[in-house]
Amino acid sequence: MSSLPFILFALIFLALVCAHFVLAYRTWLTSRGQHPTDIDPDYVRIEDYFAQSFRLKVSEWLMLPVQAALPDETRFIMKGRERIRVSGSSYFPSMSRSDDILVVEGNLQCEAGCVFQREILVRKNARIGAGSKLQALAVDGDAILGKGVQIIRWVDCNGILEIGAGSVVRARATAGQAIFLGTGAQVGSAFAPVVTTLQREPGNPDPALARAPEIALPGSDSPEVANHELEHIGLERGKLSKLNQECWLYAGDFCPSVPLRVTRKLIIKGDCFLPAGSVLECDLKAEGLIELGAHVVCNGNVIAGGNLHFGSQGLFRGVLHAGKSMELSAGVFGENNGSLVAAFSAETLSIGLGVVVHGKVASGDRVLVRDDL
Amino acid sequence: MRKPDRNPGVMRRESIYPHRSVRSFPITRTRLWVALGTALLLSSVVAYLGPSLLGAHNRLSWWVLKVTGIPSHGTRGVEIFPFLGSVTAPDISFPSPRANPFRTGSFFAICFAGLIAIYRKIPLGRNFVVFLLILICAAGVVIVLNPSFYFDSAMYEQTWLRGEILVWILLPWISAFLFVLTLPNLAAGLVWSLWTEAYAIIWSAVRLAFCLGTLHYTGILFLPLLWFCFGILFDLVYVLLFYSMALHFSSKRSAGERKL
Amino acid sequence: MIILIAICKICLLFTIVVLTAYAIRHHLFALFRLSLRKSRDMMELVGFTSPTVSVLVPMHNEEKVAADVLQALVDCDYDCEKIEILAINDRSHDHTGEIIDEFAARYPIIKAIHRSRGEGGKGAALRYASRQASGEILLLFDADYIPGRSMIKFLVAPFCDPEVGAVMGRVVPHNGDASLLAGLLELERGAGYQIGQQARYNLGLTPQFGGTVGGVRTSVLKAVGGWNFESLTEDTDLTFRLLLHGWKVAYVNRAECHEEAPESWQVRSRQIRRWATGHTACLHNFWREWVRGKFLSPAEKIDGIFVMACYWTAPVLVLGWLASLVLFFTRQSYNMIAFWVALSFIGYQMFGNQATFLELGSAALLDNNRRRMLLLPLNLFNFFASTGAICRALGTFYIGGIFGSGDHYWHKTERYRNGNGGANRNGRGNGNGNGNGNGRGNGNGGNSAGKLLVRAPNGLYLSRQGANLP
Repeated sequence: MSSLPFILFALIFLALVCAHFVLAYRTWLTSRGQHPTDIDPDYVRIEDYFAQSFRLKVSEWLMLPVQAALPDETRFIMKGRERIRVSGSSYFPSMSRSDDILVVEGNLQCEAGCVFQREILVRKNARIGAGSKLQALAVDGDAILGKGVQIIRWVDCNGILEIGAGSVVRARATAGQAIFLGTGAQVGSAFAPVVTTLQREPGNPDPALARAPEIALPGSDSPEVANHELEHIGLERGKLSKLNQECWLYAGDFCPSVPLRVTRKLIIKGDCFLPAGSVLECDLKAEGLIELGAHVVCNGNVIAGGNLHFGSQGLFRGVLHAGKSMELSAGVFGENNGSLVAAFSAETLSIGLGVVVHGKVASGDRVLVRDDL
Repeated sequence: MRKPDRNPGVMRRESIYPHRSVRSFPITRTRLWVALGTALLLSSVVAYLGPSLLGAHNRLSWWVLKVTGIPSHGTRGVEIFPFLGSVTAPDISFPSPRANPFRTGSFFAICFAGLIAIYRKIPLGRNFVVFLLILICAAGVVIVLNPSFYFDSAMYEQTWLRGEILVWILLPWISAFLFVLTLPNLAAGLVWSLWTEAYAIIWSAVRLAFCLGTLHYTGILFLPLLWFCFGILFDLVYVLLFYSMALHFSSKRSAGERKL
Repeated sequence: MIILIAICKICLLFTIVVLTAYAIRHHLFALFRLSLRKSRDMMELVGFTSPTVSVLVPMHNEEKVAADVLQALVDCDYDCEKIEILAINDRSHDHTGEIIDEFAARYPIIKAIHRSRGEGGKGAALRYASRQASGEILLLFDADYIPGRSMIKFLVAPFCDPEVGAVMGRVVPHNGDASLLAGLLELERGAGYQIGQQARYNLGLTPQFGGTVGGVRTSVLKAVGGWNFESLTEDTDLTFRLLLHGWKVAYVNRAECHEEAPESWQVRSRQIRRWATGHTACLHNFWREWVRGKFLSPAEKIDGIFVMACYWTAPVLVLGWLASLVLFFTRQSYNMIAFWVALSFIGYQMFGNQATFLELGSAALLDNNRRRMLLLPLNLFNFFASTGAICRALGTFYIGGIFGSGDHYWHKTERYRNGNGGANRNGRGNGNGNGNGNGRGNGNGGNSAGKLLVRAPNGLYLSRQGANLP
């Protein structure tokens, strides 16, 4: 029989084989010049990035032609399908609703239950009534959020930001001066020179904190740490290893029975329970949870693989990081001689009353103010 | 304390598109169970219907052979695996290397020269060509050193089907990872899984027909090379192709966006 | 014949076991990373820790790109009182030295270090410069990288954890459209960093320090013995020494920097052969200590062995394939067909430097690299090419070890960029360097002379400066 049919079939078959690669090859030829994984080398991470970006965009939008104007100098600008409403000081009665991007060139006041579906920029001060719902809010002056306000994204103000009891800011809350968080308030993160759950006027740190008792870890500064000294305070010499001049490792749960002053970096392969009054001169890391008693002073960073509980009236001067949840008990103070500090937990970060942090509190879940810590 | 309202409803933006360093596609329990269930179901169906599928597969191969003029001198029963029983394989004649050494040698030389030409031309394909050269040389060596070496179409089909039936049974599990678990669109993933399984069976029949046809005209020289290129390796090629297509089409939206 | 068949069956079984283990590992990594909602990173703490930093930039004949990297580092947003940039002119014959001097005169934070003698290679240059560094943290950039403005803050953030000894960022090829190979390598790099490194970091395993776009704590570096310039892959060497001494390596997925992937197979082949050789040398140097390592968890030990032995998978795969070939011709029992199937599926999943296609696809999905996803089928050829190169490298390595004649020459990897990237920050994006999918960037600020890899009497594999080679 003639082999022609088979030759034909073979050609079709080989074409089908090649067809499996044609798409890839064509993609290669046509995707030149595309850079899907391009990197912005000018990107600078700033805490109020969204707010600044929004302000910049507003300044560009305001250059667009005005579509309509009202006698009270309110004007409307169309930006694609969205409408921007530019007005002077504005007042919204209870249960008002707005679908416009608002630019308020004055003060903004809204009563309870209002819904603002788009971003708002206020040039002066803003007062948001209880139970209102906003997309995002940028204020050049001070901002007060009433009880139960919900902000779906971010809020930023250049002055003082008050977040009322039970209010929720799902993303960042940033302020140029201070943020006051009411009981039950929740934020994604809060950043300001002062973030506090005090009602007003955070003031200076509690003088008592500066006099935290200092009891040195026996022999911790010496090259060889005596076994009996450690046993005396509930630790085991065999578990202690020196990694280098500045760092030690403890292989197990670290539960001293007396307050300690730890003068080296310490890595704990377990849980850490530091009694009240202890002082950490350097960084501390525990794979498990960290529980710091009352009046503990942390001059370094504290990193917990699990939960981190910071006892009442404690002081931290570095960063706190928890792989799970974190609790800053009542009266905890975070400050570092003019530099900013930060506390972050992958899960819920709970803050008690009277907590003052000069810097940032953030969470992968939410930051929550509780009155029972 | 009540968590924030997860369903803002009328708010303008309902999701954010995070930076690629923090994007994710949560693999939910539902998805896991669907993937497991699909894989189990498909594998079971294939195993249960194995003899029928093999029969259909063979019928398709025979039809292709018939249409392309490859004669068959009867059939033979070949056992695949005990749980599958045996299938009927065509008995296809082919030139013996002993009877046609010049012909076999010519084919060898042409193939070798062709591969060398590809080796020189395409740097990226060189190592693949080396694999093929090893295969063709190994076949040549076996033919030369062991003239009594025997491998017929039934044996080839047996080897082929043993490999392929296992591919058809394993493929749902691979599809579970590639299509069902990890594609953003679950429904699309299920469709791709089913399509890949069907394609595996149909395409295997066509490939087998090609190999048997080549056997008929050229003898056993190219059998290892054909089995390597168009056998299980090619199963992987189309799995990859469909996976890349499925990924491409499924990621049309902002892949990895996060609901607010 | 019976013995041969038995040996082949054992080889095939061994191959299947090894490749199955790697396949499971990579599938787990891909699934874990895809579903990772909360990354274990310190991004929220960026800018809240500011230790003193010394940035080391070794340069050997880098006049085309020197200005770009130095300008980029000067433009960074790190506190200028806490940073110093050590630009190392490592025996250059071109105008690199003048460019460095010019920048040093203009910017006080740049220190020019000129090196005209001594051992060749990047490791030696780093060792020389490290002695003059005063920062608590040493950051490394190859000359052809252009770091972003916040890059230094990103890389420094993880050091707030006292256990972190080194940190590694992500290198992203920018020239994926320059050649097919570069496009395939872009996929591969994505898998290595976006999936592999991130998964290993979050799982508490062994992410690698890559020698560029990364950093190390100065005190820790001294504690573990400093840079080992006798290794072909000093970054891998340092990674394992750090881990053995109780430190960890952090991976920062957000700290991205452009690099330039090899555009031709010749360059890629040399690169991968060096990595394979250097990596395997590390395996031989460290595996005993690693298994006994008191600071390592069982999971870290296992993953570390996987990492060290990753280049063995290529010859193991070839061995299994050859064994199955013998079994094919001897028409063995049907049980071996099952093994052959398993071998094929699992072995052929090990594309491009140990990344399965699930990892490749997952990384492309996360990066939203829609177009490049379609290149996956062509990665088959990249896999075969890499396998061959690795087998050649390891063959030379072991044969040389047995007969004492296996010399390995280390070639400076070719540059493609013309050095206009830094002049216009918005217009650039032509980074140039050599990252890899396993989390290392082996840029070449070192020499153009070759290095020889020889086996020392104590069994360690060392590299020695050879004669000047092209």
